[in-house]
Amino acid sequence: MSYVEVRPLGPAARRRRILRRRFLRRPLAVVGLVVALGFVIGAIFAPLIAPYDYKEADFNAVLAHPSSKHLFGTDALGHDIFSQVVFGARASMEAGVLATLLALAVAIPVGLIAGYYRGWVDPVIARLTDALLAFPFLILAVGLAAILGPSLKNAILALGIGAVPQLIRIARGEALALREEDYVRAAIANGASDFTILRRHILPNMMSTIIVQATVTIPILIIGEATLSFLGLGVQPPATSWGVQLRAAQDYLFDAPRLAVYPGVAIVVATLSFNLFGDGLRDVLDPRTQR
Amino acid sequence: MTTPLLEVSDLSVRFDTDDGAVHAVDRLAYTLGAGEVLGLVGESGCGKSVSALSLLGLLPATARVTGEALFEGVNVLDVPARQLRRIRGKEISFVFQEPMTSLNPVFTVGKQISEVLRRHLELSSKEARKRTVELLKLVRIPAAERRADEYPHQLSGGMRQRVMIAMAVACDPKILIADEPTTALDVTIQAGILDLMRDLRERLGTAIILITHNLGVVADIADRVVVMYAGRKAEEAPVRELFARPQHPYTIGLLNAIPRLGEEGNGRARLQEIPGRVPSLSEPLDHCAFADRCPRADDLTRSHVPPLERVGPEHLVACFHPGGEWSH
Repeated sequence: MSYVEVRPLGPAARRRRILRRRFLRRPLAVVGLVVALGFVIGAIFAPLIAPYDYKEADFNAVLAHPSSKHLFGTDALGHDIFSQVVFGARASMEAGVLATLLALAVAIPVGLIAGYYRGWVDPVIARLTDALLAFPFLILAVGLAAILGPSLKNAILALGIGAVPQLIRIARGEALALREEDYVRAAIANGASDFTILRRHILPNMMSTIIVQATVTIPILIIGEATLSFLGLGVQPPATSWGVQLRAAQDYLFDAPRLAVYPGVAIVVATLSFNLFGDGLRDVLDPRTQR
Repeated sequence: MTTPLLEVSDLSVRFDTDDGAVHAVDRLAYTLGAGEVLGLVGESGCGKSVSALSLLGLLPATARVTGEALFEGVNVLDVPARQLRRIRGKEISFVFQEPMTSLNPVFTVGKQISEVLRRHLELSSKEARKRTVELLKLVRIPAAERRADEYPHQLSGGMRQRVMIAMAVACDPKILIADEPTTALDVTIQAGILDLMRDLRERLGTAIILITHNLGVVADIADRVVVMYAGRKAEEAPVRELFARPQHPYTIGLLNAIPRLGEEGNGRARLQEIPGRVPSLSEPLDHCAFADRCPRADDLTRSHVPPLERVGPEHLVACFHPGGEWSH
């Protein structure tokens, strides 16, 4: 007689499977993920996807209507708009993802220290973030970008710094709640150092909240990058981004509104997709919103 | 008499809160011998947990701890943080009341036990894993190999408490402090946990301080008992002596509050409760803390703090009118 050995799934694998199934039950979140991934992949492989280089000007077809040669038509300098939009995604994704990572790199340690150690550090950091949060995010980012000087790198820096206070507040709140957990007390009683407690007990338990927050921060920073570039504080022509394209489209708003429509729609769809994905992720990871 | 393993003297704990001070523990003293099980008994808020937590510096920052607790000649109330961390979990370890929430949900239980082993004994991950499985077997968790790879939420409350105990004895501590280890568990599981602790004491020689409000638990496993009331020691005696000849009216009250079967015919249909409430501890009391609830209270009781008197070889009681009967 022969047996087929059925190995039960490990607990981690089982949890992943439950989460995946929960996520797949939310069609909007799945659409969000697919579209958002599409933008990221599109940005990475822009040179392969775009039929023309974004700098390539076709002077024989200026402000051309959409055609088989130029899918979305061309702009005032004869640039292929489809190619421009595809390449424009690069700045947006770079800004959204890198600025968010930058903000997390600052906010997580600061929030952890404030929330875990309390003492005099906590009120100082809390009041400081409150003060920064009193500025509307875009005003803060515009101000910082103006000080740092116009370039994509500086725009990312400005957006990252602008996003820090909100993330500090979240990391601090989580640390504040988690330090009271019984398993933290048990770890202290077992001789764990503060560093061990932060790394092994507090940080891992706040990650799902942080991941969700990061996913909803990305679209805010995508809009931020577009705004800065639109105002001339971000990406500088001839390099392109959706903000740069919108700015150029201003002059032709009545003659060729499509110049503004294509990058505008790209911004809306990209932002929306990240938000849908983030909301779905929140529902899946946060047991408090379980239905 | 040989030097005890732990000698607590004059231990006081005060909490400075926004609503004023709370004198949670008032000049408590007790000793613990190697391999001994000491029951620390009293109702909620009598300072039994606080006094134990203070030994390892586990109280919140608002606590002011004074006094002395000599563990192997070192006053653990007054050691630098780094040295205290080496004592915690290695020399003296703690088992808490809440097994459901005392394990980190994101790591397997095996990993969490290994962490303690690697921290204190500097084992390699392979050695730690091997020892972890041994420990899980020691606390009688079936299929220990498999359980080690499970997450806390996959284990029952009793299992989790066993894991907590495994973690506490991982480094072969000299003292295990168990704070109401069975209170959150089903009665049938309580017995198993107590059985396990008795077994560990015998096999590992660990001294145990068992904090509980349940005299039944104490009778089951303790060698000696300290009864606390309102932050002070009311009575101390070997367990048999305490049950046979309780002296303090509070102890007698506690004993009368233990439910027993088949006593309807004996003229006592219901449990006797202790009337009144525990006094507020915002001021250090200058009289017997139990006076307001005591049938024997008189002017002396209401104006003076009763000193601890020796009424037997190992029997101490803080009462002006000790002795008396209790209805067995």
